[in-house]
Amino acid sequence: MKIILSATFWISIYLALVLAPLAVLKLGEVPPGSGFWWDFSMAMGFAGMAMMGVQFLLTARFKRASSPFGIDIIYLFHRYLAVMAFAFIFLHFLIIRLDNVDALGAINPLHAPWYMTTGRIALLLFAILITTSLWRKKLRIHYDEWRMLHIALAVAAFLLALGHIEGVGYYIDAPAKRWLWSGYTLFWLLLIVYLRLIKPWRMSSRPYRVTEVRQERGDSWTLALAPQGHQGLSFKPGQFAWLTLRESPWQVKEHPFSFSSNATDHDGLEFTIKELGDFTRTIKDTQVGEIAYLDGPYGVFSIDQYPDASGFIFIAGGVGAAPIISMLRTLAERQDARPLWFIYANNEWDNVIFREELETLKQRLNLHLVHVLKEPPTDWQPDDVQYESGFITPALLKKVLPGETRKYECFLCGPKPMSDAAQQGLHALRVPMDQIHFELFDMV
Amino acid sequence: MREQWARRIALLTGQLVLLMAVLFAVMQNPIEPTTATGGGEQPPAAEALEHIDLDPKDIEAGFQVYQRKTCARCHSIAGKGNPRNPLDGVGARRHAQALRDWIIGADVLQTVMPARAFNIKQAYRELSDDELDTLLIYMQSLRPATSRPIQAEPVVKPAVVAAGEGGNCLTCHSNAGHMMQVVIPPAAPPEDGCAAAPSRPAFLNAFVNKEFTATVHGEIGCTGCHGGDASAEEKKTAHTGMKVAEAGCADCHSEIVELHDSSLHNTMNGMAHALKLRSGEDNYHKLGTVWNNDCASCHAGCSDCHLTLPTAVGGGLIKGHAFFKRPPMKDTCAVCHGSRAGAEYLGQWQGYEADVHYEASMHCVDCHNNDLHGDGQTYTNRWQVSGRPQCTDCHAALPNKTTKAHDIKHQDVSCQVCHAQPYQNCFSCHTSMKEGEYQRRAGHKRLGFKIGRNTVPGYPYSIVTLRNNPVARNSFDHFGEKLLPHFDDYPTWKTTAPHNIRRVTKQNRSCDSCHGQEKLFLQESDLEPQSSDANQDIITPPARNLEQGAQY
Repeated sequence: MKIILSATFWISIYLALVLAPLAVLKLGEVPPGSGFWWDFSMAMGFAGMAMMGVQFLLTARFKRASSPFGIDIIYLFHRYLAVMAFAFIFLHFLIIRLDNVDALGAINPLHAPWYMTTGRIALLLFAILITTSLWRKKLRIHYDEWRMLHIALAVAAFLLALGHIEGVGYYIDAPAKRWLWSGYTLFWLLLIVYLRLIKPWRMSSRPYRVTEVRQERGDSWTLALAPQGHQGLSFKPGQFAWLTLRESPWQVKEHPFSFSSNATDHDGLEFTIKELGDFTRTIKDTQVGEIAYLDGPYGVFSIDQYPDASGFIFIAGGVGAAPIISMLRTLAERQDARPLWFIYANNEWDNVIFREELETLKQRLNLHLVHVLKEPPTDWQPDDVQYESGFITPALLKKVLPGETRKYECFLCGPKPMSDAAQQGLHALRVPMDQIHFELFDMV
Repeated sequence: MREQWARRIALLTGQLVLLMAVLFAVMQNPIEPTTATGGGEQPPAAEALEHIDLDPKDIEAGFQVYQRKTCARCHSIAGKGNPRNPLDGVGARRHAQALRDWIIGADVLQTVMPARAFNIKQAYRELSDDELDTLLIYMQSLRPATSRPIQAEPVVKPAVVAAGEGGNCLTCHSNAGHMMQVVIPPAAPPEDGCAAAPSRPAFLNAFVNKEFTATVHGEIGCTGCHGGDASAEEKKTAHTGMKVAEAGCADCHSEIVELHDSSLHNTMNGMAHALKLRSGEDNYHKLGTVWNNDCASCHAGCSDCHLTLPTAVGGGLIKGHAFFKRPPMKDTCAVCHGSRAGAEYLGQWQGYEADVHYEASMHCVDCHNNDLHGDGQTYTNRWQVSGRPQCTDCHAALPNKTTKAHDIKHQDVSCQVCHAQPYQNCFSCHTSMKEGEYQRRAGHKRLGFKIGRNTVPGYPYSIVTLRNNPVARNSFDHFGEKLLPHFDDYPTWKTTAPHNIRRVTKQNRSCDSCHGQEKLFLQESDLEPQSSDANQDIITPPARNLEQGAQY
């Protein structure tokens, strides 16, 4: 209930932020209208800009505002709204282009008024911004480079568009409205200052030291960190943090990883990372003693969100086991007796991360561990390992999960095909939607 | 689950925003907008412009300029282009010069136009003369189809008014704040009571209303009359080569200007004549200083009545360079003629009423309509002017049956004797030099009412009101002894026509109010010591042969 109230509150704040600039246009002395389509177009422009402004806020990782939803969903929201805001801004241009092309004036920046040129450039930059975000991988843009590009494009486009509004200045030509729009701009600029200067500075004053780099199965590495001169952080098992390694916190080179360690252990934080991308391939080169920085914890993918659950079902694939192992380790530490199921999919038996540890955890927990192997070794019949061949499918889940599946909270973490199949299977088993939890990642 | 909610909230947000946008657009446009008629993408057909003298070729060329310069970025014509600043019908709304100023954002408009628009307009100063001319013609062609035909405004070519010419002058002269700082108040006129400037802020003297540029005279441009350099950016160079603007009046008003040469306002013959009678021709020439510094300063040219306060009180624009066909009485006529006719007419003497004609809203020129601009004849004084105003021009001559007083017995009595109120008399002015400067020292003044014999040859009445003139036997002693040898040949009390007429006055209530009041008649005791001997000849005792208590 508290979560719903809190969520409603933050959504209301969001709607107010987006709609206020439009409402303000009607305050005080309003210049006369200029026809429905003209004014509709103008309203679209203002609305699009108000939404673009709030975009900065959405990705600012405010823990309090994001906690009722999970920060991954905020990023998803950011993505939906970006497309919508861009559609509005494009509509703003398109309506005038179709309805009254003469009013756009010259295109040549040498002859056009400066504020029309800034408007045009802003539109173009917004378009690039959207394109590079929706299709980053297809365009083969490096993640770190994309992030820098994203920030630079967003700030540039936003400021240019504000210049356009200020230059035209028809509906904001009253001191109060100018104040509001200046205030709005200032707010976003301050936000950027906070995100790019103050927050990194706070991170820099709380460094961590790499205490161990341990090879795991399946090209994965576990990085152990210990706080240097501070209390460290406490997280809920299953949560994640942004990790900065070998760079200063100001360089916008942080990457999100799930904690894999036991949440009750505050002195040693561990991340288990698989070699998948540009950054993750360098983890193994990390030296003990290096300094790292953390921004976190974030996320609602945690058993601690549901303390009253009667049991948990975990479904993971590959390195998706990292947050699951954190939850299992924590449950074991707490001597939790609730029934647990872990359906764990991997390609090969040799690559099953935490394979040995899971066996020991079986002793300490009421854990039903089911391995799903794409290619199990031929003629392989281990005594104490329950395993299935192939992929996770609804039929497989029906087979391995208990009949009363709908009593339990389910956590999914793995590649999208696996996650989709698992969701289907759980739906088929009549598990309510709000009992199925998964992290959305790999959005860009 | 959360994903769906995120999508739903995102969609909700989008819908709310769209709704707000539609709401905004509807609220901003409560009524279906009507697109103005006239103008249009195509230049109006030639026949529609029959009544205005614009060449369709020029209109077409102007339309091309309008297109080329993407004016539609900020303006619309017949619904095409930015609807915020429609130009439909602008040709009927604005004068040619005003249109030109608006196109190029002339300096005159700096405080009139929104700063944003003014800045944008500056770029159009780079239009070629040809482009600007044709664009102007296109603008002039934009008239509501339904409006009545409008007389063509002459298109002022840049040769007459350079772009922004008025602008540079008006940058200072239309800036009240600036003028307040730089205009030095003119020296106060001598306190002799003859003329007095109305009290007002000195900056008004040189302040030019921006709207002047849109008037017929404004179109000539500042330098057209005043000379100087309109392109200069600082005062000294701008004012170099300035000339007397009045010389230009004859360019258009030659007939009136020519006649005015003979006007007493120009010749000042009245004063010269009165002086010459007393001084004689030889001595008159010795009084050049007096004449030049005093009498001649009252000279009135075109602008003294139609544009500025009279030069005699320091001049200065009456109202932002507005020209007045009918001079504003209190700012012009009554300024020079203020101590006598003006103050009387306007009722400025405490205890006395204004002239009944003034109360009936009559202006000086309603009576003085023939005698101000001259008629080509040279007159030596106002009494000679043919067509000078007479009471009988409007009021039928005596005898009149409406009242017994207008009977045959009074036919020699001037109207004012019965119908005027006391008036100002000035005594014994003197001249002197102080620190090399000519000075006039006012004598004393006194309100009074004196009846006596007429002093003006040819005047139709023998019994008249008399007014003392300030000349004294020794008025000009500073410039030499006995400069007025004929002083005693002419009275200082002279026939006058006070301008404070009332139907009922103190002296016309009964026969006795006049005939029984000796002090109304000039007497020996009224004369100053050293008074002119000739004053003796105009004294007339009150007519005593009345039946006691006789009433009209």
